[in-house]
Amino acid sequence: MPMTIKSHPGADADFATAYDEFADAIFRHCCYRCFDRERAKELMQEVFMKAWDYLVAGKDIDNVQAFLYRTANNILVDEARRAKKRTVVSYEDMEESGFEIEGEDGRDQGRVFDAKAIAQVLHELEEPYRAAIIMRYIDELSPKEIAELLNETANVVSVRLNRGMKMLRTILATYG
Amino acid sequence: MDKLTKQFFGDAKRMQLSSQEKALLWQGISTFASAKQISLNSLEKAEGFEAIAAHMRKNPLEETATVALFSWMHFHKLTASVLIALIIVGGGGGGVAYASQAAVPGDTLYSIKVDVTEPLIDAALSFDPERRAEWGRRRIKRRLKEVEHLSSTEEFTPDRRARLEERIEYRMAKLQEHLDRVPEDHRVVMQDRVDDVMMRHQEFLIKIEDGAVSIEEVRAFNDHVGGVRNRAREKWERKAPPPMINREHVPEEIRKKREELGRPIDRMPPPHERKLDRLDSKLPLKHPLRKGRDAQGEREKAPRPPRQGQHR
Repeated sequence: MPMTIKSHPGADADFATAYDEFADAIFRHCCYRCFDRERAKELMQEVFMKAWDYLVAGKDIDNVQAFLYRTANNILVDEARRAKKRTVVSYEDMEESGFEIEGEDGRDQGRVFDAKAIAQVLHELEEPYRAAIIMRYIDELSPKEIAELLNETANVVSVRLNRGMKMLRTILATYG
Repeated sequence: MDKLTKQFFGDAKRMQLSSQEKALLWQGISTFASAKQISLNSLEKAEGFEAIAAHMRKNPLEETATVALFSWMHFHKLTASVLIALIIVGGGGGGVAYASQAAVPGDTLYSIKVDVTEPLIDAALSFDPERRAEWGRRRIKRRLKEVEHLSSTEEFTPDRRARLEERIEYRMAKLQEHLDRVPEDHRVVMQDRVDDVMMRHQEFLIKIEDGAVSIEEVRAFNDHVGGVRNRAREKWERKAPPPMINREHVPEEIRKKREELGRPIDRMPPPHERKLDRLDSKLPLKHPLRKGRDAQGEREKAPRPPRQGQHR
């Protein structure tokens, strides 16, 4: 049963719960799409603010998770359009811009792929395959949900996932 | 999916915000949200009320934004401490939090005052019920002060009055929960202090009643506080407080006394006359804490010890 938030004066409690549940996932999604940790934090904040504006406008959010991902995707697409020149990003730039995986304790134990490696691999994946792969295998959304979020058919999403996975395996093989 | 790909996605999923980052970002979002409150128009309210009331009866729920914030802070104690430090010590949040302290209902910053800053202080307190009860008393006092401030302006609307009445009721219920856990000897003292806050507020409102811009709202609020106070005293097994002079409802006994003395009924008596307005005026008026004074408030003359080294 997807989480819903009704637009009413007591919605702030539901909104706080939604933040607690989805903030990390939306942040992660933004991070792997823009390769800038600090920018990803701002984008995540923007996503939640847009969600609140939607509620203030008197509209209900029937599926919070889907709404947040859809909003994030729209913002990221706009962001990419605005900054096309910045799409050529070096791995050093990613590190400098703060692309790092930080856990609760800041340590990096038992990890095969560090932040830099993940960034390298994902950056080599082309859009729209990258977005599909991130949504399916990192955000753990179903192909049907991805199709709804991207306004595509489930068939198109499946094709993107298959091709994306082939590309990913090739990249990982060369990486190893 | 092969092992390497699984490992790749497993590592990628470990990207997350630290608790501190999450809390700071939430602070920004909640400040933004506080400035844009969701409200319904009167038609929507009327349409939705029946359904909501039925739903509430079916699913009693005490969760509010404050409680949600509380529960969130309960699981992120370290983060909460960092937030409190940030707000108290300074920075942008500190400025907003400080500025919000003077806010009254209807102001943009009022939500920050009552739903962010005050719960943060609440969370910073230990679980000592006495300290929590004292903070609860202060929160009630803050709401009452807001009314005192509003009562001198045209902004004391029925809507604001209703919201403040709700808050007083809610805060009183929360305070009672803390008081129930305070040891009995301290509890009585705390109850006295709470009662004193409410009594002083009632006295203040009666005093300014004539000059208030929204007289009806001031009277209605004062009656409401009187009701809350009476219920609290009943719960604490104390007799009802003596009625205060109110032009609309002057007790007959007081009216007669004041007529006999030729004093006006429609004004608050000065402090030295106030004893006449008590129904229980037959009781000695000597205050237990004011030792050295008799029933008329005169200081008892006690022999003074001679000062050392005094020369005539």
